[in-house]
Amino acid sequence: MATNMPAAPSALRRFMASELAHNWLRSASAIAGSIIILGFVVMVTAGPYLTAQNPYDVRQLDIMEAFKPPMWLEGGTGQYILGTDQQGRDVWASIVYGSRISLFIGLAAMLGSALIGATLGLVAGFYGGRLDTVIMRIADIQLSFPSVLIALVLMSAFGTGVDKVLIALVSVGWVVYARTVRGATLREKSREYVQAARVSGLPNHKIILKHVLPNVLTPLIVIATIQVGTFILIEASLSFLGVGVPITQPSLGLLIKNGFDVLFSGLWWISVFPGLFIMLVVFGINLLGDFLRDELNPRLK
Amino acid sequence: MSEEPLLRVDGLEQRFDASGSLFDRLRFENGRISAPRRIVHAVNGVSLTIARGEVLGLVGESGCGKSSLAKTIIKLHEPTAGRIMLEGEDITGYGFQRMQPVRRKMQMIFQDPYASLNPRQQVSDIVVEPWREVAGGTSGDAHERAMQLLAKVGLGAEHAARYPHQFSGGQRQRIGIARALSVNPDLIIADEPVSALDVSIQAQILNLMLDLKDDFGFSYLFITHDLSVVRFISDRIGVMYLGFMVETGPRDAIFDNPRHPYTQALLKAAPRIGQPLPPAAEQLTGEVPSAFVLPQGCAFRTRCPLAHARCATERPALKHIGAGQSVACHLHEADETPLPAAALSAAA
Amino acid sequence: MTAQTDAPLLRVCGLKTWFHTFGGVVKAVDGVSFDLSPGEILGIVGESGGGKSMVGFSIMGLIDKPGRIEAGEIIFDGRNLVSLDDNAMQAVRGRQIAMIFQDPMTALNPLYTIGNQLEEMLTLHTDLGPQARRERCIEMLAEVGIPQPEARLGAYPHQFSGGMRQRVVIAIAMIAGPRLLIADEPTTALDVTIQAQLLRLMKAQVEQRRTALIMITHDLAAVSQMADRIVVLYCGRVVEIGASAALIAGPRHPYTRGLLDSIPANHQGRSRLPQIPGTVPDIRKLPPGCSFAPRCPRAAERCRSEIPELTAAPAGGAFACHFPLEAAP
Repeated sequence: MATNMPAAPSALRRFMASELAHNWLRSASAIAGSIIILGFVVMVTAGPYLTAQNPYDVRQLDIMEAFKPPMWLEGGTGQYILGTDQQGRDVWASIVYGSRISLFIGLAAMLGSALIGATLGLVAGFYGGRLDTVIMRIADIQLSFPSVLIALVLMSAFGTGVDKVLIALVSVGWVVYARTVRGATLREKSREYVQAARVSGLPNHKIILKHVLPNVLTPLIVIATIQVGTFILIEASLSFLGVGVPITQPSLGLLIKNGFDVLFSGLWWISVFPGLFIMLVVFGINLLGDFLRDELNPRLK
Repeated sequence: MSEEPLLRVDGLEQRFDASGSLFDRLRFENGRISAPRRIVHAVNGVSLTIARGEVLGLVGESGCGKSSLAKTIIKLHEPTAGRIMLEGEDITGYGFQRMQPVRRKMQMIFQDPYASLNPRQQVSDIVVEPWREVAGGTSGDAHERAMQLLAKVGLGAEHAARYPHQFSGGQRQRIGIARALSVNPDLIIADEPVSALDVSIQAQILNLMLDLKDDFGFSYLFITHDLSVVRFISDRIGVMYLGFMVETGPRDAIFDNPRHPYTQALLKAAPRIGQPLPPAAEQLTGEVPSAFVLPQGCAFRTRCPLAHARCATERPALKHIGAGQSVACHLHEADETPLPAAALSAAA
Repeated sequence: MTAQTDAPLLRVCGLKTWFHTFGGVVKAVDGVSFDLSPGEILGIVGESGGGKSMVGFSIMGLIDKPGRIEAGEIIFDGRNLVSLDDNAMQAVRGRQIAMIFQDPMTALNPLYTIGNQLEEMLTLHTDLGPQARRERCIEMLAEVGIPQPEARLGAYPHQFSGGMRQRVVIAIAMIAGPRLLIADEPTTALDVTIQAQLLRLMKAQVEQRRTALIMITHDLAAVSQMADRIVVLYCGRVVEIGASAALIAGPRHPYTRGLLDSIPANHQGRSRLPQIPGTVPDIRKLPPGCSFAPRCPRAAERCRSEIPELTAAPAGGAFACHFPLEAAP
């Protein structure tokens, strides 16, 4: 199995010589997914340079420019490629700025979930006993509710805000890491190299960090990839329902909600373009995630 | 031989609770709720000694408790009862901190060369790990130490920066041996170290293990199911069955004059090159009983061709029958002559 | 034992089974030839990476991508199995050729009773009615030494011990009356006392029915007790083939000699074991010439450039070596 090991200076070169890279370059869906994600990341980082307008600078808005259709429709102009909304905001610019919020939330919530979930999973799997029982029962209970429902309840209690969305997403997202890492830890713990580490005199925390952790990370790569997509969707749902991010920091989901009121009056582009955009991004993430799952799962080999 | 043996194990018992959590154990039978436990009787009162520079081979079939015994001696498992004395020091109850100096004296080589090395660790780091943890090795000297150790086991400097998956099974086992050597131990417990290897590689590793023993003067507790291997490497041999030591003695005595019916059957069953299959009459029938419920009396009586009434009621103790050989069988009465001290330490 | 005079049941000729992997072409089997008469027991021995299991899988038509049979013929009972399509091969498998694997647990479906699994073979491969099938299953279980066979028909695989499971596997393999049985490391996972019982059982089964048996194993001692003839593989090629007793008493190929010497039981005294130096080479980067040359004490210049052909020995058998050992007196 080829896996890239970081830390060495030639990590990139080794990765490019690996079987993973070899198969990646031969998988149409993996390349398509990577291109979509790369495009998205470029768009988000290059943000302001791609748009003529900062949609959240009120001074740049002109109410007279409101409800312009996309440029290829009658009444559209080249200045607003995807048209404008009720306040005369450029829809394309809104998407670029909204993507930043969506992607930030997706990534940050994923990192938070992975950190908390993996830690709890390691502790539960390695030490076992009562601690394990408590952690895993909480996880079981949580899994018996739909994650959007839990997030919705939490958001209703906390109120809106990017930080609150993050807390809500992490509270639903840690479970999958905890369960996966616990399972992998139980498996690794019984392997002889962990026994060898005990005989070598390593204390538990060193065994966990040096020996168990690096060997349970691989399945997390897949979960983390797909979860970024899932979190973007959940955040969009929350924002659409009005309990997500505030109006001042609109994500892609909030953009859909903004245009939803006028969707059936023929002003479809305000909602539909952000919606299509979310779909494309999540599709790209899932393409890459599926490829990684097939490659990194030894059972499918 | 009158000096204290390097390792003395007295009446060691190891029971594992295999019943899982309370939730898994709950049973509802005959209108009553109960939570029975399932206890594996892995090691049942085993005593042994190993002298300095000696190789004690432990042989037996799967489930005979030889691996559990080894892992209990090195304190990977806490013993249920009995005593473990290393150089006269009782280490039975030692916790993590007090075990640290003991680990300098006692190291282990594992069975599976593919599972016993961390796949994410460089070889140069693997081989010095015990040395760094318990022998005060420092990062500055680690590289030099790793090179010395790799050279000792026949690997080169070019191997130091590689990862385990880049090695063959035999080379990996060399790395595992280097790791055990890193602290200059007095005793190395080797748990089936050549079972996973091809026969030509097995010979290389056995030779290496003997050469290292001669160089460093340590002792081996060598566990294997392979009779030809145990015959090659051991000075003395212990035969285990269902967690009991059924026979111990010098290597040649065990092979030339086995006294326990199980030892006899085991020797006959072992395939010998160029010989026809042994006749069915000399073969053991049936299989090893479950370690959850030990048979009453002698553990071997369910398969023993010579079992009689006494075997079902009374469990035979390991008794010295002369010339350093001991056997746990009612067919053999103990040697009544008082034991010289030397024989005692060799037979315990 | 007298089987050699019959017309061969199986003739494997120039078999090449290659795997096209990321790291290069793995020539797991590279030009293997042998034949087998009805009732004969042939041992195939070699170390891991020798390609011995792949010979068995090739005969069974069980080579999956990225593997492929590149060349060669497998003539079984007059038909070339290599050219058969999946359906025709399906009819041969189980009915004509059966296989036993190392791990009895993976060979049995944990969700069905062993009665179901035995009976399925009869349903697939015979015209017996339900009552006759049931009786045949009970008979077969009794034959392989399962106590209370009638009661055990309804038991599931996990209710048997390892040795008993392998007995059930043998029963399933033999019940449809195959003409060739391939056993891939059949006793490696079992204890010596159980191993001896099972070897005896397998030998009795094939002798009784004149079934040919290919026993694939790394265990030279076990194979020497069972086989009429032995094939020694190294890096996908046959290095020596011969009658068991002759091959063990007087091997001609240095690799066979090395294997025999490496067995600690053959070695008296407490000095070092004679060992074959080095390790099996990476099969994707075999040296030119003889694959064994880098480890061979007799290797000369010619061995490093020219692949030795399998040559017949005057005393019977054949070896692939430029500088063979002396024939046994």
